[in-house]
Amino acid sequence: MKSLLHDLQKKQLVWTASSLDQHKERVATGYHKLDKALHGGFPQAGLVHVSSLTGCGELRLVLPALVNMQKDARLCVFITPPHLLNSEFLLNEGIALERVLIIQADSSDEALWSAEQCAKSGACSAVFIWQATLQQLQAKKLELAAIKGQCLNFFFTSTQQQSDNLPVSLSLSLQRQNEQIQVKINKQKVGWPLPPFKVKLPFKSKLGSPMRQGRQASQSNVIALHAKH
Amino acid sequence: MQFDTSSLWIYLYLPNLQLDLQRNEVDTKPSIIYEPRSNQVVQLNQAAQNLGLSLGMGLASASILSNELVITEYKQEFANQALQRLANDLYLVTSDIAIDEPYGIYLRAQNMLKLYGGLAEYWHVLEQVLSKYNFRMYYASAYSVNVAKLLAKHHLRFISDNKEVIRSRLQKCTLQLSDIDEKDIEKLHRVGIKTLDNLLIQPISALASRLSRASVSVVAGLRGEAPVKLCFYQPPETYRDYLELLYDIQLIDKLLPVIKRCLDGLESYLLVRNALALNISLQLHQREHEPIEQVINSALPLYKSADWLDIIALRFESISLSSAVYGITLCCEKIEKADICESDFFSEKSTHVAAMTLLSRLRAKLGKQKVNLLEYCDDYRPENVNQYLSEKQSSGSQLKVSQTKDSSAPSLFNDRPGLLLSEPIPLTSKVTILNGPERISSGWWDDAPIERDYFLAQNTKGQQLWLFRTPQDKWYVHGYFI
Repeated sequence: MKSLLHDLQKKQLVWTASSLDQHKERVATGYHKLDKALHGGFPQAGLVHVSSLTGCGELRLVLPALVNMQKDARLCVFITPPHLLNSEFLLNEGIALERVLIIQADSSDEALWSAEQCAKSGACSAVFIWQATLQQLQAKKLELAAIKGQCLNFFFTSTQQQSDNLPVSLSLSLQRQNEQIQVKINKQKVGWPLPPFKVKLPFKSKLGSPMRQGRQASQSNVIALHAKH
Repeated sequence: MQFDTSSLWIYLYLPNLQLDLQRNEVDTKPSIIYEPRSNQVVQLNQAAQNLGLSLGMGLASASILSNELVITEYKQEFANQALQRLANDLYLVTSDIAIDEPYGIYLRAQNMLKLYGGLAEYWHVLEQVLSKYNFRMYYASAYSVNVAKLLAKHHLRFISDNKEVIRSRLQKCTLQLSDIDEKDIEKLHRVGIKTLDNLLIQPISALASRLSRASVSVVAGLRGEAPVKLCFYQPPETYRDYLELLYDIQLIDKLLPVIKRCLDGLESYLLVRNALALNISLQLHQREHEPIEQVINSALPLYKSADWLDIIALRFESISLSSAVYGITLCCEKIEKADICESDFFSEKSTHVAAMTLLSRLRAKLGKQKVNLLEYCDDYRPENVNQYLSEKQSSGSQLKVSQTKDSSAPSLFNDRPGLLLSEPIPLTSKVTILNGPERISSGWWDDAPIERDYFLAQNTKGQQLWLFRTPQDKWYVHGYFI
């Protein structure tokens, strides 16, 4: 069976959706292994479902892709993050703060409404939304809105359930294993689900010396103070 | 002020203004406008006329003639507002306008003739503006303000710049409709002057001893000898419009099309001034409660009614009416000059517009305080690093400058957590320390001193935490490395 399909493919008698133009352009994630698994990177637009525990590096995994996209100077919208978003972290990742919008919605309805508005406005390059669960219909809405506005819509959740059956462009499950993150692709639009593989996502400074980068800064401050006197 | 006696003037006479304004509601029924103070019918429509009613009738005799007569009390404000609106519209095509409350408008045609290339062309342009209103209107042109007014009051519709024609028309006029005092008309009658023709033959000195000073000046005006003082209309600086609804509306959804009409007025106001508005205020007057006032802001200056309506619809989703609305006031205090579209037409601009539109929509629906921008403050204490800004301070350009400086500043530490807890929580689970300590001891100068040793740690579930230890050896979680 498989060889038959292979033969047909060779003769170019089988057409696959992955040959559509809209799927050809990908956004490089900045991680070699991940790029390979995702046929070159994240899709240009769509809903990306990331299920992981809070604090295992889920945002750091997707931000490099965003920095690549940010050249067009569109907005990044964070909708109801579970805690305060840290500007120092974003600056460190290379995201200009004047492009960042934070929406603190009271209810899940409000959050989803804002996500949809932002996604379809065309003014945002990425929308991040934290929600416990997402209904089929809501996911479909967000996906279509993201495609309309040419925007990547990341949906973070800590629950593993319902990860496969949502109509999303890409669905990932992340799990931290020491320095590495184990990525499992549950679903992707132009490829097959993939078994877990590992991506290295270390801290920026070397272990044991968090002050190494910092010291420079404090020194420069000291000099500045002296100069004033 | 007007002192010139040789220009051509046009007078528009609108005797049935209040009735015309109501006409949409009561069309075929006989209706009158009644002034209680003098107990007189002051305006009436054709149907009422057919029934035998006439101007100056008392209320009792008028109501005897018909049992289905629609009677409305005379209110001068209605007419005055309508005249203001009319003048406002005319101002776009003609320069010198003077409102003669409550029934008429003076237009100086002389200085417009050159622009339009003749009286006929000028009048054609005026007619186009006036035809929108559908008022019953009489008009006349003359080389004196008073003559034009007197002719128009004779229910004429005549436009001419021929002095002979005007003169012959004037001679047919009666004294009663002129502004001459009634007692003086009586006096003139006694000496045998019964028509205007007779009057104009007499030298003004002969009249001066017989008539009051006011009447003499009227006569002098009619002869084209005395100047008349007029106050020319100036369009208002700010936009303000009140719309009275034809019937009370209780539902917000039903209100929106009406608001659209108000906004259309604003749109044309802004359009001719090449201006945009950043905020407008809407007042919904409720029948039994205090009016609801809403200030609608837009992040991007707008003029199109559809764009405004979009934002207003979102804002109104969260408003509930306590009782039915009978009127809407729309104000726009400040207008912005529209500047020329800068730089690239295709790329930058469209995303900027989209971003601003998005911001207005979000703020209208969720409220200002829920939509925030993030700012970085240069401080070692993690509590002070972040500042959430709502719109006000953020729209300035100085923000951008400080941001760019900050992002290139070398004082950033690596490995700060993406999420900070607003309140540190005691550490309860088992963790392995990955990195640390990093001591932050700061703030002794401003009453919020901290002294903490920060650690990077990972718990058994794989979450990476930002912990700190106080000098009392207590451990807290302060952030997550997302």
